[in-house]
Amino acid sequence: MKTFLRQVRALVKLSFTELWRRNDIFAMFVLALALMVPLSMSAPFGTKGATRYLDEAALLLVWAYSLFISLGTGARLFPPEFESRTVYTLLAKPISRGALLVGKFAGAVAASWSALAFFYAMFAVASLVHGGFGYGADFAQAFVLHLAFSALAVAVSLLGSLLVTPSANLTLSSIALVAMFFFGRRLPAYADTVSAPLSWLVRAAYAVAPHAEFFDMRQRVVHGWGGVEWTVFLAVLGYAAFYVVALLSLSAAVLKRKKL
Amino acid sequence: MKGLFPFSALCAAGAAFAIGAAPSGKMPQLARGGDALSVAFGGAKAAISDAMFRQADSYFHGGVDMECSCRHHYDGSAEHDLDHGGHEHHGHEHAHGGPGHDHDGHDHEGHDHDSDGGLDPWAWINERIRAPEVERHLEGEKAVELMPWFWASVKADPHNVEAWTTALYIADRIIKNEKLAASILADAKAANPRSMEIALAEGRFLYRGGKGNMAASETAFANARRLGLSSCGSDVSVLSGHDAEVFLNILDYLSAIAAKRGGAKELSGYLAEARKIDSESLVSKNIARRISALEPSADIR
Repeated sequence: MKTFLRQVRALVKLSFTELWRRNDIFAMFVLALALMVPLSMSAPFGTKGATRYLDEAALLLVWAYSLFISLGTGARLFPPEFESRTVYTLLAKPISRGALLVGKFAGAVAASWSALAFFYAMFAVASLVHGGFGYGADFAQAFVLHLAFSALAVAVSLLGSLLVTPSANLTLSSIALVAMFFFGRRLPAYADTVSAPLSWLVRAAYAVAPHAEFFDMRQRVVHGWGGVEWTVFLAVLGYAAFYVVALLSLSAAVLKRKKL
Repeated sequence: MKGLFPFSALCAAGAAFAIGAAPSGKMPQLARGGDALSVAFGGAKAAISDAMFRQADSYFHGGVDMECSCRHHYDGSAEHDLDHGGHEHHGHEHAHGGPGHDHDGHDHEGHDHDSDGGLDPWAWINERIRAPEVERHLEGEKAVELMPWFWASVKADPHNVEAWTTALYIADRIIKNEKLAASILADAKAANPRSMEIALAEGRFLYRGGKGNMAASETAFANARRLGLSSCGSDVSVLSGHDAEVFLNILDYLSAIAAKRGGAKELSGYLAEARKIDSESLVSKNIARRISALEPSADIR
């Protein structure tokens, strides 16, 4: 167990260092500044004091960036190891395939979470500067649910990276998550409007696809509706945990059958 | 292959320049004028403008997309501005302009988590993660949060009259910032000099529920009527739907002001026009009632 933890810790450190060394986060931060600073200086119809649209735009950027980072980090965990054949060295350490998978996943999640924490910290600082940070439990809940989503996105792209090519993986994963984020809750209503074979497909997708929209509390945060009930909050965390475990189990099964 | 990108970029830049510098003579099919870019992207601009406008509506309800049961909050009718003596209301449903009764700030009982999710746990979670669908309106100065969306809406499509008039209403009646409202009105008029709805909105802005500048508001309403008449070739019977409602609204205001002044002759003219559009409309009845009040012996059948 001690060896397992040491191996996992080493892999986490590796993933973490890799993400921050790539400077993706800083590029995104500069892009966010380039978008948000002019927006925050605008005075529509000469009015001042409107902040919600800025908060909404900033949180949407945070969501987009976190999706990009989580999917990218998850998708890059195994393909480079396979291509450069360093996976043989890793497995010869000796490190089990299970430990490799868990360590890589934990590293990607840690790296994604650190980026997310950085973006939320920047959001909080910007809110403070712009007009005072007036958020409470709702903001904390939104952050924690976003962390859970980030882990789920890493797990999705990790499984995808073991099944399809990197570009196909990124495309399919982002389509699935973005589509569910925006349209997930409307799928049952849509299924009612289409004919039988398609409606079954839509209902099946609704049942098993990752419900990214569960983790989106922007509306509550931006418009001051307050936090969600703790039972709901825990239910969403439970959903994320279950989904991540299921995806990791599938990934483990795929990795086990993979001829190396 | 290497030189393909600069070549494509050059072509794109050339095409953009050519479109931008196209002859200014307007093509006959351009209903609202505009250059070649307007032809190419006019529909997209209108769609974007509508989306921004809907976002403003969503912000008014605390970020919740919902059908508001408070029919009057964006209602452009004259019913609250004018004294209709307890008669039935002219119940048109269009959403723009300026209502007379503000109920910004009150929450209505809504369908807060009205579904227990049934056998669908995902729906159960979704309903509770999202804000509850209770009617909550932005009140007072908080309504300034709507302004960026109205601004974006009219920037995308300066001919979105609904966005202009609603922005004017929010600025004037909810934020209660007369200076801001006047500035929006000036911009709206500059962008839509021939819009009778904007002229009606100007009249309502000046009328201020009967407490404003009567002479100035009458001039604005008269201008609105003139624009309406010019749009239909002075034959108001051809006005239909929304245009007819707007024109009737204008007549309602004009007749109320004329009645205060004792202008029976003008009232008769307004009544004739209102009856040409819809003899059974509430505005026709209102004008007839005003004539009766001025001249009890008048025959207004």
